Amino acid sequence: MESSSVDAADLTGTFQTYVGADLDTAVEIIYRRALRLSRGEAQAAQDLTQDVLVKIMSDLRAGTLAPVVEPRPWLRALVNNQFIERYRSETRQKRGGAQRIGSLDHQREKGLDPPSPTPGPADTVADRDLRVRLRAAISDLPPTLRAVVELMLDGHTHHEIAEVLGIPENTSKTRLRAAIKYLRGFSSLASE
Amino acid sequence: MRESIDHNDREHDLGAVVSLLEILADLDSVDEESASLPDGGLAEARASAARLFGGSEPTAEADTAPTVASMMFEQIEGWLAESTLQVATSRGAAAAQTLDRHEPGLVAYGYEPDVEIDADIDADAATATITVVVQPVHAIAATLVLTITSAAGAVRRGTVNAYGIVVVDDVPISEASPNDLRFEWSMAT
Repeated sequence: MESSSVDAADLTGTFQTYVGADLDTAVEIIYRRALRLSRGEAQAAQDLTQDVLVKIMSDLRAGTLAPVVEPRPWLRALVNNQFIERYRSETRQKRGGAQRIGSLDHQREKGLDPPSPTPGPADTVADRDLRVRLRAAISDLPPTLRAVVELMLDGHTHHEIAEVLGIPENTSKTRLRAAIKYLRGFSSLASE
Repeated sequence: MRESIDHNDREHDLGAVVSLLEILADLDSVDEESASLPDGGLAEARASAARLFGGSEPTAEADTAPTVASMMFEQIEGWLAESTLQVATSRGAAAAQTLDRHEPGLVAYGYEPDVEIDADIDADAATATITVVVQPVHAIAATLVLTITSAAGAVRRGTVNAYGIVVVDDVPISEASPNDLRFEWSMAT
């Protein structure tokens, strides 16, 4: 994609070309994940959905979006990322001030920037930064648990994870729960 | 210092990831793709998307969206812009000077026209928490929702509580384009 901006009139068509799904279908995927993460709160889900769409539009206009290979997980991952950014923002406010974000270069120096096999939500600098940070946060997990968490963060469902890793779907669920327990332990240690 | 910052960042990231995964794990049994959706929710999301991308709205579905009675808060953008520039010279969070406004349109909703507006601006995060205080004229006034929309289409909402206070968090602001926020009141549905 050229770096020149995209004409507003062509945005919907460009959306379908690059995202790989028409706008209505994409909105449904986004809204379903947003509703889930908002624990059924309709208004919060609408706001989360809108934020994700604004981000996609912004990337389309800027010409920074590469064609998406797997639209469904990609769209879900965008909602996940937006949820995480909001969580961080709210936490920052509750703690009474802004937190500086560790530099991407610093994380890369630690070797925490795994290559992505396909273009995904990590295709812009900000998204790559977030992806690297999240990978760093879960880097202490045992490999079998980390693989499930990474795919979950990338927007895959247990069904899809089971196919990718060649494990039963219930094993994926069990590993996710084990990973949460593991991460909770790190979280409490980190806050001490 | 650098290590301390990294430690805080990682703690925040870890907390965010755990929070996200807990929600996803809690709802393991729910099939996200086929779960039933609240009435009108998807139609509203699609209508918003159609507006955002400049395409035609799905008319039949858009008709089901609630009718919004609204009014604009003019000049707030200028106040916020001025505050943002002031905050830009410092770091972290800072409170903007309180803005007193006279908004006659609020009377129609059962509120006094005089309102007080505050903003806590986080220059580093480029966001603001905006608080508006309104006074109901009668014991029973309409429940109002304040919607703030940026030019990019980001929407933040808050509902007036029993004390006449509405707080809208995480409003995106920009030093480069601080005049792009639209303030709008509507009736709660």
